[in-house]
Amino acid sequence: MGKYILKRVAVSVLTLFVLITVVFALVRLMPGDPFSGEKMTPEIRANLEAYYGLDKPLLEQYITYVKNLLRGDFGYSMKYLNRTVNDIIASSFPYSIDLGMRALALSISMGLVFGILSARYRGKKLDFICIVIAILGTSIPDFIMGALLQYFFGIQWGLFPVAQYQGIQYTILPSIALGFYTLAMVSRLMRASMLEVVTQDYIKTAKSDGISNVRIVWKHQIRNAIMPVVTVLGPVVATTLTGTFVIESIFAIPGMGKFYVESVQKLDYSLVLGMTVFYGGFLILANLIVDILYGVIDPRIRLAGK
Amino acid sequence: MKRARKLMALLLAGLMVVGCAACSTPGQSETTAAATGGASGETSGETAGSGETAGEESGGEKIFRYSVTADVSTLDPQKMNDTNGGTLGYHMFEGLTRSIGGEVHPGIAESWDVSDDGLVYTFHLRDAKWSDGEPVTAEQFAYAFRRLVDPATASTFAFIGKPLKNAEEITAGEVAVEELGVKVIDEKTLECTLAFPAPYFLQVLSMSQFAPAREDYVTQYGAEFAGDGEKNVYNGPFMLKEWRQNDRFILEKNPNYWDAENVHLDGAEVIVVADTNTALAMYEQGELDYVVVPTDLMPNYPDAVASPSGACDFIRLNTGSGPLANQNFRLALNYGLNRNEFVLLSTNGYWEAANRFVLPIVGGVSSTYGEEFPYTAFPMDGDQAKAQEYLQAALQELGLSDASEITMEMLTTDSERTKKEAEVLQALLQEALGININITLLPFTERVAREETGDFEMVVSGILPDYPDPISFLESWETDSPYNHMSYSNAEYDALLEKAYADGNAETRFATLFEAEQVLMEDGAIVPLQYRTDGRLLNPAMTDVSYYFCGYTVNFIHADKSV
Amino acid sequence: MEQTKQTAFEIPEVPPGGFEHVGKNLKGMDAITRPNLSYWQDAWRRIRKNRVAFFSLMLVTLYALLAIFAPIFSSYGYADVDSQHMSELFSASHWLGTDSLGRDLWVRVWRGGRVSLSIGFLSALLNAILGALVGGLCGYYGGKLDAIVMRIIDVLYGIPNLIVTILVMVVLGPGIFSLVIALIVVGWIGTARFVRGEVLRLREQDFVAAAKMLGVSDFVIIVKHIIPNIIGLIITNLTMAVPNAIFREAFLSYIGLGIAPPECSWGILAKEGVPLLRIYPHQLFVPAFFICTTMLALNLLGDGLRDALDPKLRGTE
Repeated sequence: MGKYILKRVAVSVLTLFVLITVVFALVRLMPGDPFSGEKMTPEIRANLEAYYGLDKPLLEQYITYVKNLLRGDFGYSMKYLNRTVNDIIASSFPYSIDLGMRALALSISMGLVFGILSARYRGKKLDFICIVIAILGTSIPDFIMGALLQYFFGIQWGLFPVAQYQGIQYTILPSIALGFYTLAMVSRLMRASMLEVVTQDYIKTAKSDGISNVRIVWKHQIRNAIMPVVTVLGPVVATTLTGTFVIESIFAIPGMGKFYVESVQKLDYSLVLGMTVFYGGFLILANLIVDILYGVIDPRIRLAGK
Repeated sequence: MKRARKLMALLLAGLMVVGCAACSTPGQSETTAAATGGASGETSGETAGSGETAGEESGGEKIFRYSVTADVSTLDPQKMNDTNGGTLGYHMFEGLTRSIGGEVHPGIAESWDVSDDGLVYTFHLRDAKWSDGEPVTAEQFAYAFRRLVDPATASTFAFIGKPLKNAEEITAGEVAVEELGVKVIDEKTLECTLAFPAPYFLQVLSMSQFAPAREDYVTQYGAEFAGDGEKNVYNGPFMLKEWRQNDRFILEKNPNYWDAENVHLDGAEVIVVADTNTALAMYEQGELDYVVVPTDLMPNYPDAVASPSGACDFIRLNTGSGPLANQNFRLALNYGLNRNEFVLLSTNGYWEAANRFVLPIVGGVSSTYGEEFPYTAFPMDGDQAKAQEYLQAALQELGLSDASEITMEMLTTDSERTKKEAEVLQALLQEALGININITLLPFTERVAREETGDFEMVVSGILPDYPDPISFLESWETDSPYNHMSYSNAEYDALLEKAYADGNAETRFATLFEAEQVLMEDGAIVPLQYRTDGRLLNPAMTDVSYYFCGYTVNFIHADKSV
Repeated sequence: MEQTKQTAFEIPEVPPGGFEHVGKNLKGMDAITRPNLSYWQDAWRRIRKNRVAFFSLMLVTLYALLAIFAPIFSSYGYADVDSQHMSELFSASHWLGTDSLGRDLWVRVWRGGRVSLSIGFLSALLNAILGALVGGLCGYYGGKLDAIVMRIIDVLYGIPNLIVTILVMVVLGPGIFSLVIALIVVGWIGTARFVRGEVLRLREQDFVAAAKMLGVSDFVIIVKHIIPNIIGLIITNLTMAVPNAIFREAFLSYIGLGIAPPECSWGILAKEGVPLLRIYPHQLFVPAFFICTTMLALNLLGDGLRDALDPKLRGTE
């Protein structure tokens, strides 16, 4: 197992390196450049390019970038002139992670519970309620959900603050808006997976062995049914944690998602690259953990590291 | 039944997990705020309080709170390049002059003398201090001016230094920085030599780009100069306490400001709220003191105070090639467009339709340019008969039999407002002229990049004057102007502009500029569309807040708030 | 429990001659009492019996038909602006009211439905096919192929969707086709990972091991054993991919990379309606209603299909 993990980590690092190279090339392929502006003279543009070292050959720029990266330096943003990318990530990531954790805690726990209940009481009223919640979640786009929550709970009824992120009461609406889709997805997947497991032979065997129902549900059904859910969790966790642009812009939360979309639109090379590497590293890490988790949950999967 | 109870317990357990996740995090959220707060941990606590309810600033704190739609690119005075930054800079720094509502008042310079040819300005500085108690000197101004145009600074706003002698050459790297037309006579006297008699020079001196800079801070912080509150010093009425990226700016009264006794606010909080609807809701909940109402919602806010935002929107036509190189076709577009219908559809008629290019409220000889030089280039409702006349002439010249053979691509920025405008323009122009128009939405940078490279036919564009003078609009259409992205070239126009540049006499200068504007319009070089208008709501507790379209959007230097 | 067990052993007394020996019915033993239904026939039979799923199918079909025909038979064009009738509520001439430019919402909803439905279905379907193929092969064969493909997938996954999508959109230009391509380029990976995980699990199951021991070929194992076991999950996943694609299209339009105006989609209509929620709520609720009901129908249909296609539930009601 240790050897396997080590190997996976090595591969992940390699993946990250490939990612950096590919994104470096992709960003430069995009039309336009970070200095396009209404009043840009060729002289000023030349000065700016010299300032950021963009006048050098691309390969040299790449080598410089990777060298700096190895020291953990993402360089200066080109849109936010006086800030380093490290600084921007450090200031925006805590918001995204806080919001993301809340949304995830809400959506995964409730999603699993709804899914299990739904499967256990298939065709009953409880199932119906859970399905309706799940369907609402998957059928309303996040920007409508966010706008509706904000309008009714914030503006009309004044139950929660309309926007910003400065305390517990501020976090509730955005967490729900961000987590609702995941909640619905988890509960639907869990339901489907539970129904699948229930018909498996080992459950029948366990039943005929006279093992108590609770034990069967806990030890056999849930543990087996949770597998497909775990597979999708890696990416879901990463995307949720790195924040979503829509929710952050509706609720005026200074998280990473907002910076990310902005940097792509403004072609802020260093910020796009820095955030991509950070985000990519996060995803790769999440996938790594999922793979390892997979091994832990289902011991029958013989890990290839042997 | 037993099973059901067990499962209910499970559900409850799940709920508790969420509950706990929620209850354990407020601490975490506080640390988040503190962590992002950086050095000044105390302010983050203070703002968390002020954000909660409007009434909580009962500690006698008079804080003016408003929102901006985007974070600013930089607060380095010489590099500032957006209106939000400009407004902040206006309150944090003070240049030699202070332009209030388009009128020039003394700033750090108590008085100044101008030579007869309008080329040499001598400024006499008052005894003013920076927020750290250091005196404001002429040398700091000279340093800042040189820094602005220095290629090593790489300021996107270096062009604003143009009136100063040698500025353009320095930015182009042809002349040494020391050659700039600025001279320190003594600690309190500064002499500026201009390249041409620019009557708007005193106006631009009020902008942050011409604010003094402290070399010690610039050297100490390098690229991170002005990146946060403590990374710069301030000589204006307010000082920056904290800049939380994409979140808020916290300003505090500067006790060392020379006119501090007339500054009544204790500070200001500028919050970044991208969604204008959200900002409006925050205003209604008492979390903001000032807000701009989204135009869509204007019918519901008849008491909002309307004032121009300064921006003039127009369609940029690529006169270099294709049907748009044909003057008759361009005039057909101009006469065919019903501008009243256009603003009615796109903004409920709330924005002002434009039938000339220069914003009429910019300064003229003694009143405004629009009053002194009234002009109706094209009828507001359009003139379909004339449009057809020009169209037929154009078709003949182009060798086409029917207007439907013409297909134009219209670029526009990908915002909701610009998209809507493009849709209206498409519908109106297609119907009026029978031509085809395809809309392409692009992110702002990409749209501008395509304008720069001349890779376009029509672009819905906007211009925001840097200083309230017609030249700020007209300079873009000179043949060799770097901002002339449409290969427009008219010798008569160029000659008129050259004449105006060299002219020190206000009356003849404005007359020449007006003549140039007429040439531009009669050529159908662009299709003017509208002047943007902002509907503003202000907390009734606030007094002495004013708005302007140039240099700043809102002025709260002398504002007061009854608590 | 105890009691019923006891009664099972209490055999009531039978009067002599109460039974009659009938002998072996050899013909009857071979007779087929239930029509022999193929897998798909059985699935169709079950989906028709599932009223909710059937109704959903009908609704989606109805929407698809309206999207095709409604704009053709209306007297209004989807791009006809009208300053006399801006932001009107429902009326006889404008069934669903008008938008802020006076355009008829009934026509725009169905015009937008064309775009949204075709993007949703096309990209979800192509994603599922591509993803299942790659994921299935990797999961089943494992080894080097799996390792290589999974690394490629990891890299692709690490590249934020936004960048890839933007690049594809820029290269191909705006339009439905480029949107579908852009959504596939990043979309199939999720399905592939998910299917791989499932296949990895199934591969270790006893019935596959048994089939292998009996010398059944890989192809037959995949077609007869693996696919029927995962098709339900793939379809459940697919029904979720449709709204996902529709949402993503809206998000792309949100940042200006969707289809070129005045063409519209449900996502765009809803987005245009959000800022007007306070004064003209119908401009949000009309498109939102169609988005939600479509998603609802698709989800319920997906559930129905899941049950109908599950081989273990075959023949049960």
